[in-house]
Amino acid sequence: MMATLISDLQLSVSIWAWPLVALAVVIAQIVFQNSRLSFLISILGLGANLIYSLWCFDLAPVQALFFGAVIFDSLTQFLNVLALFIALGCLFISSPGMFSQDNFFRVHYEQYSEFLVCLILSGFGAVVAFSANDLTCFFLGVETLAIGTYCLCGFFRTEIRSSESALKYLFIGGFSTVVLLYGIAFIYGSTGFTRFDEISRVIAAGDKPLVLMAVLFTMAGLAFKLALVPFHIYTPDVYEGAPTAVTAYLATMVKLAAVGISLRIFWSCFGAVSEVWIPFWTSLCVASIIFGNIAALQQKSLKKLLAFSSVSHAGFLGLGLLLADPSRGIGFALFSYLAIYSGMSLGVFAIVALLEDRSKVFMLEDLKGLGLAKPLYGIALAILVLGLAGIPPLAGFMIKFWIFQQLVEQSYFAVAILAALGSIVGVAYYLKILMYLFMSGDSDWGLATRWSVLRDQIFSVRSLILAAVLLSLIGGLKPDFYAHWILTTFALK
Amino acid sequence: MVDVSIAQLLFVSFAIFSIGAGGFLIRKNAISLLICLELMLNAVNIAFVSFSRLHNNESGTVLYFFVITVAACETAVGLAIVLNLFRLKKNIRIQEANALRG
Repeated sequence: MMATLISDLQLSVSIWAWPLVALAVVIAQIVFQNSRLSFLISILGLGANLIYSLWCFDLAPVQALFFGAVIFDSLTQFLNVLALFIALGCLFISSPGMFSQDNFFRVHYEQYSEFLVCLILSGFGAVVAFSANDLTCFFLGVETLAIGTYCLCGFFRTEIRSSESALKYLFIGGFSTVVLLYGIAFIYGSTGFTRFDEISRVIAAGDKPLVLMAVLFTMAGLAFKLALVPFHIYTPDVYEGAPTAVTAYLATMVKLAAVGISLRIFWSCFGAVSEVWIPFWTSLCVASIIFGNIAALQQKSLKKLLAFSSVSHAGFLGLGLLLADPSRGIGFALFSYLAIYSGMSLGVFAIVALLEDRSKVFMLEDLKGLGLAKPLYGIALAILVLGLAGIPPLAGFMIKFWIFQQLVEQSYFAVAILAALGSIVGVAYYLKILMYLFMSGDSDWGLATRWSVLRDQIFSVRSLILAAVLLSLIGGLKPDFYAHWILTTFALK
Repeated sequence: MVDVSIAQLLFVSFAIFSIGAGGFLIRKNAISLLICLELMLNAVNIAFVSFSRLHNNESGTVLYFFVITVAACETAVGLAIVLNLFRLKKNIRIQEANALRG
């Protein structure tokens, strides 16, 4: 028994290295009281974990570790790599505040180590949640992720907007957790097991009375986490008020975790009753694509617009999940969508974080003339926004194209047509951003404040934006580049 | 000792859950909302324990302990956030948390 435990620990290094990094940050903060050192430790720790996970990427058959509580298959490893990329990206986005002389940032960045610890630990929660093979482990992971993000939202604690966004996220998140937990209780009640493989065996074996309740409650809880219409009501407010690095985190890491756990729950547990949940789930996703895009059209605030855009992208992720039926093939469309979408959103939020003035809401009009005053940022933002819109030569087009192709192949024709109409509506507001960017007019971008000039110098954010732009370009022009890797990862499953 | 059937236990659980959910939707005070969340979590706990008895295994009871612990953490974080907002605004009525409206 001891020997299996040790070999399990050896296999799952890339999972438990997360809290180890957080622990190192805590100790460094106690000993040295230096937030720059803490930042360096977290970047190096997560970076080392990333390199290790990529190097040891193991395509061996599925392995259940820790007496079956955790499953370490290629899906876990792929999502873990993606989660590490996202966590590093969000750390980079949050880093410029460390160098600010501004009083607002100085006060808050004294507690920067706490921010780092919350971010890394909630990332660990995400990894535990999507690698879980047991309801207990799954629930603990989801909650670790959620409680960390509540704290992160309220990081600017002297600011009313940030505190209110934390409050709203706390209540909506808490409610969704309870709903999800009631679903878990019904899963356990109808089967008598907490292990996913046993649950799916029992559900496949016969008609269970409580399965419908279990499916509905679990689905509602997961739709809250993924922010699908009509469970998206909190997104505009929370995304607007949270620090921009945290907004990026909510739009990428939380969605990544939600997709990962939905994949496990729906296909591993409820695979046998797919005819029960597919109609509900499809209508949620289509509603998100259509209403998310229509609501985004009316937004005047940039971060609210991006929030609704993320709702519509969540709809596409949900459709990708629908297509990821393990018995029919691989969820190639889903995984490429997840990777490319996360990269592009991180890039967009990095630019927003560089340009925003925390004392007021970032309106669309504030972008006026940016493309002419600072052409490099203008072009970068234009490429990323066109990528999110799904304009042909960019990666954003390829990922949508694959989703549509798979939808047609699996004969969801009506869904494909509605989703296409929704995303055409979406192009309008992305073009509105472009219009503001390159519209000449009275803008004060020429007279940029000292703070934003200073932020311009910060290497980490600029390299993140460059990486996102390159991903968007290369991913569109040479899709084989990553398609091959994803295909080989999951073909062996 | 009175024998309680699983249906009765589930009814109690569902009733408490509904009371909590109803309170969550109509109450305006942040502390009341936290209490309602706690009520719903305890309703779920009743369901876990009664299912555990129904199936005659311990998994549900173990889950119940985890739920209690996590609920305590969540309430602690929630109280901290509510307290912080109270320091800034001098009240904790939810309908006045409207700085993000627009």
